[in-house]
Amino acid sequence: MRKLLTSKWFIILVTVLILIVIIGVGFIPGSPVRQILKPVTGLASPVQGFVKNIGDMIGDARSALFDGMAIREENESLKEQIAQLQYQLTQSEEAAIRYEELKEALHIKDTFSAYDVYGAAVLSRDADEWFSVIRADAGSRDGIKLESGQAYAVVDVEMSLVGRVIEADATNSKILTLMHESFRVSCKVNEVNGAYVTCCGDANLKKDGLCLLTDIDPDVVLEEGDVIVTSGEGGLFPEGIPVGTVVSVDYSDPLNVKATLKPYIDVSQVKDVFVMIPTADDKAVDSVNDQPANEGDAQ
Amino acid sequence: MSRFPFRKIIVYAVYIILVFCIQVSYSSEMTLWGQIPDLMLVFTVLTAYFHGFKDGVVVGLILGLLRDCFCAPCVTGLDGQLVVTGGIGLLVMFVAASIASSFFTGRMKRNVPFSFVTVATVTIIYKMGGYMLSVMWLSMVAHAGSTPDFVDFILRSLLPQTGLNIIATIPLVFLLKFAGPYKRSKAKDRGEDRILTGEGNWVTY
Repeated sequence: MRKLLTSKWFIILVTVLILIVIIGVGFIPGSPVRQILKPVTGLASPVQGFVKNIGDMIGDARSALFDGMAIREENESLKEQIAQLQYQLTQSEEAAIRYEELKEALHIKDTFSAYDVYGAAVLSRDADEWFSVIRADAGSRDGIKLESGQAYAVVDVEMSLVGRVIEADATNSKILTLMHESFRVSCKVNEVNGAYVTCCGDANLKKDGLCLLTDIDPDVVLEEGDVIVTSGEGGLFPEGIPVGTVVSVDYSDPLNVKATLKPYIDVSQVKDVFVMIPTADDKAVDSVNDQPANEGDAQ
Repeated sequence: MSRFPFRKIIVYAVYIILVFCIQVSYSSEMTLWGQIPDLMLVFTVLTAYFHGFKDGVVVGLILGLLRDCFCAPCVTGLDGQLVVTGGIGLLVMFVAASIASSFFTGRMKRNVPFSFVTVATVTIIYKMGGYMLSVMWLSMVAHAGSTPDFVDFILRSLLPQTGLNIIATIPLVFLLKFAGPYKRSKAKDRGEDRILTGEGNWVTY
């Protein structure tokens, strides 16, 4: 018996079984497995941040040494651009004042006025094709409080869709990118009465940096280069966030028309992201409105 | 009475922090052929291969835990809801360490050239296992996209990943052999592994 208990293969078998049980328990809604892992994340995050900062500093120092000439030339051209932009800014300020006046008079609503936007830096990226969630340095302390059934849209500096927040602890949040197989969002073609489609990640297209468009009406003529934006259907994602452009359309099966989409974002290059959270007033309105509509759209 | 293994713990701690931080912080800079070298997996495999089951499993479980905390796989549950999993990293690293600690280690006397074969073998097992699981899961889940094509997976995932992991083995072998947790003159007592854990009963000989 003692020989069995100290046998390597017995230890391996028991440990594997325990780990499989832990993984299984993790699938139960509200399971404590993720909660148990949070303190480890809290401990390891500062260490990872410290090492990342050192790496970034080395990278910056190397850039300063080797990119000196290029930076000087860029600086000169930027000075010229600043002069031009100053002139445009003066004109834009006047236009902005006019817009504000008209906005109140005509009750125009800003696309994203009902959302608070929180900036965050990307802390860590995917480890491989399956361990593929990115982490950003904004959590519940910064206002990202995620409750069951909620999802917050994440955009980049150009307001293009990056993904959605799937988990948030006190200081960090985990983001599922739009190329992940589990990502789905309702979209539409960015034109008047544009057709509705569903954008989702696809295991085969992911390697080419593409997404899949499904649920396309066979009567709709989708063309290469069409711009796709979020539709706002379901209420999880705001309407009008640019997602990408159509690369190809496959009409071979009329009952299952599919298209491929080239997203605007390059996940590997994203350094800063912005989390869009409905303002408190908007949340209250949403909860009064039809609740089932909030589920199932942007999964 | 044996002395407390300060050197071993410090060296492993430093390497674990480095490997994990580089993996999750600079993965985009290391991308080649559409894949990222899996430093965590390679380090676990090499530790188990060179220094035995106990060292490999401890290193593997720590790295697996960090992997689960920082970039856990996210899957669509059977009910269509997203689930951030927990424990898959632990399982992957534990199994990798278990295999590597016994993979012809006796016959090959844990020599350096064969460590590349071990890394390649464990990478292939990991990728094939992951592929089969993802195909199985995607076919069960509603609203899931298409399942990954097998030939495409071999050509664009398995082969590049194996190649990259073999390349990543070179610096990590140097670290573990020449600046590792044990002094080179003081070889690790392999007998301990055999008595306590039965190492040597499988493919070791």
